[in-house]
Amino acid sequence: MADHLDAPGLASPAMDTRVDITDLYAFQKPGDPSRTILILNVNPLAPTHADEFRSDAIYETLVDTDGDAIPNIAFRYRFTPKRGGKQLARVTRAELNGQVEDGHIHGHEKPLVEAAPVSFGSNAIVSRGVGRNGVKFFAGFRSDPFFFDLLGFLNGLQFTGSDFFADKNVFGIALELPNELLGDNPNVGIWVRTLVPMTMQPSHVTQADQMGRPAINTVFNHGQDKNIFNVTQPAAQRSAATAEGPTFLEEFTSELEALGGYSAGDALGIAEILLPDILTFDYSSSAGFLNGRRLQDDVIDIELSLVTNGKITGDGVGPHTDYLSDFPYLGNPHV
Amino acid sequence: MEQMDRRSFVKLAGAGSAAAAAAAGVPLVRHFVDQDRGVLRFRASGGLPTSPLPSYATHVVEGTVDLKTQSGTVTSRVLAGHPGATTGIGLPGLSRIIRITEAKGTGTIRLRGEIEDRSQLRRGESPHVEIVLDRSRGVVQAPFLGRQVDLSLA
Repeated sequence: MADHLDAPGLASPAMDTRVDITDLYAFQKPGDPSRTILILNVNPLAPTHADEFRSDAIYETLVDTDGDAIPNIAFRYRFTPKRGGKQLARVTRAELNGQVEDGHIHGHEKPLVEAAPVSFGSNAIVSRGVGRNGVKFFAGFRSDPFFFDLLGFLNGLQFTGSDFFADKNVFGIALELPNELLGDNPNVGIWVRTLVPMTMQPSHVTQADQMGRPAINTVFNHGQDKNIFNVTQPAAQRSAATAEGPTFLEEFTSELEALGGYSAGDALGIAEILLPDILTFDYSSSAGFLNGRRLQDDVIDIELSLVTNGKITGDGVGPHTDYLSDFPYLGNPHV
Repeated sequence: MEQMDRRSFVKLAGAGSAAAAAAAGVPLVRHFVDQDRGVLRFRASGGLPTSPLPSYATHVVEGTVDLKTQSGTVTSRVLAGHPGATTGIGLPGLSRIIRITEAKGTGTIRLRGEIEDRSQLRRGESPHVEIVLDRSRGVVQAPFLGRQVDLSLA
């Protein structure tokens, strides 16, 4: 629901939850302000629809280090085909210059982690990076850390405090790294995306899903606009046209006026904060959402209050109790 | 045991619901057809949440009812994806198979029935279901989590 089950590819005959992003988290490592944790979760309701990472896909975390909504750093996660119940991951870091284009992978990649085994069981297999920078990596089957009364939302915001995600699982990708790998400027913007081979040009990739802050696409975009938004680069999100013609910035503004009763000026101001859809993060701060996002941050309560202008302040659901106290922080899967 | 039940239920709510419906004798038809032989077939859907909120999922109610014997089966599912981009992925816990026990009316048809598996019911949700098909308006009223919602006939 944060971004669960919204990928345009899911509406195609070849629906693929393996590249459906559920959530992005970015937070200062507890007890160590010199390090950052990045988490990208995919595959909602796992393992019902898929029990692996997609081997021809690229999972990517993008970092904007200079505030222009154009990525400067990419962390890329690739996986081998699953054979004999095993899958291996490779992680690279690339420095980018300029806008990313659909179909192409940019930047010279340097390996961070090699041949890291994916965890399919309850125990989290943590791998070390190839350098001396103390990088840690995890990929595998985990408890979904997201919490929300989804049924209350579907029922017209009639919340009952029932956490739909309390017993759900995802496939998680977690990276612990020293802050310097995010650049010198502690104020960064982060988003994630999944890339899959183009049908007619398998040597090229196209974007399947994208996410910055939670529930933005879900809550603000109607119909076909959800799919357009999923493939629009953040730098273009304010000015990009929706299916009906107005820009996304105009649509977000209208939505805030309708749902929250905001004045046009206030609505525009909030819309300009929400777009581009990037998770802003000061890695020198241990604060949570809207500074990055920690597993326990009640992002839905914050966004409900914002969208409804304080008329609805929460869904009555709180954080899960199964988060781990150490890396990879994601709880053991429900089996 | 609870987890196994949940897993089974997820399958039922998703792709498995088609098989479950077939096993229950429910043709998954898309169109409302005439009643020459006293058989009513319909499919109706609508976005959840309802307007003005953007839809995240699609509520689909469909079934076949013999109007002469006042019997039949109707399924109710919630599929991920907004109307127009609905997936085959059912949201777990929201699939219902309804056994029809009463069917009355002509232009507007009022169906009454019962949810077969009461273990699926959520707090406050009645096993007794009423579905109203208003053919002139192309609207079906069906229950969702204890309240009636309007769906559009396909």
